Amino acid sequence: MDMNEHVGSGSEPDQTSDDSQRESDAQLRGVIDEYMSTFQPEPEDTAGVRERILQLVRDDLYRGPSTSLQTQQGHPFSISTASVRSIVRNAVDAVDGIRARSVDVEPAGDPEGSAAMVSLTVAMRAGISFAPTAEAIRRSVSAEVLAELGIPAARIDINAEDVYVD
Amino acid sequence: MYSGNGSVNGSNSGKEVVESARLADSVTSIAGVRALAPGLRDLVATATAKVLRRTGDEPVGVDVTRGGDGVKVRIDAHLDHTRAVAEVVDEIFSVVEADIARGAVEVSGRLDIDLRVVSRG
Repeated sequence: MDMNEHVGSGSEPDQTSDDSQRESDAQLRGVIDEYMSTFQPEPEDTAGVRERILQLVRDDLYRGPSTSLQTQQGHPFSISTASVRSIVRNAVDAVDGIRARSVDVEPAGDPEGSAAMVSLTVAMRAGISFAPTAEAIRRSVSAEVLAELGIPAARIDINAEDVYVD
Repeated sequence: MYSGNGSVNGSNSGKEVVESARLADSVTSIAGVRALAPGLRDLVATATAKVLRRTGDEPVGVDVTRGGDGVKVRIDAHLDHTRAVAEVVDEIFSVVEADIARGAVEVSGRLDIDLRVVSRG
């Protein structure tokens, strides 16, 4: 499962391993065979039909990159990376004079996924002092990630990459 | 992927569809779960409908499938903002395990629960 993506493109391919792709295809083929066995298609419809169905399902199944986490009770789950980024971005944008640019979220903690490691870049309004603002960003992101995800942020790295003037 | 152990027996696709529907009902009743994304069977039915121009089946949203060493439960869920994600995830696991304990799903061997939060909003 992909762990570390950058904001912006939103269309990068899922970094699924070849093994999990094969496993997924095998499962899909099983479901297709099971479904096809429930009715008798016309002979002219059977040529290559399973492959066409498999391709359509693969396209529908792709839900974008996801991040693997687990609850404090040890229940693993994956969540769309876009949803996690959105939580972080809202927390960053809530800080006066700060706008979120890129957001990376990786599973962290022991066991892995029991916490999140956040890396982000921001644009700052001209005249703002970085050090106290960075602490305000950390507090905001930490509180929001814990409240919304229920997972603590083990580390929050901030990089100011731009200055803007209102 | 969560793995646990269960007991009992049985396996055919009709039973799995019924079990999937039972679990889908239970999971969608959890506060914080807005909807379930189509399960694999729904996607296959829809794709088959497109390819063969036939009607699809009723969407279920949970997939119960049996393999060589046990049962896999796949859930793709859309959540809302009312609760923390981890809280809803824990309750989904709890509800699925309770359904299995009361026999709504027969599990022999290994139980894998593959839960994906597709969206939140």
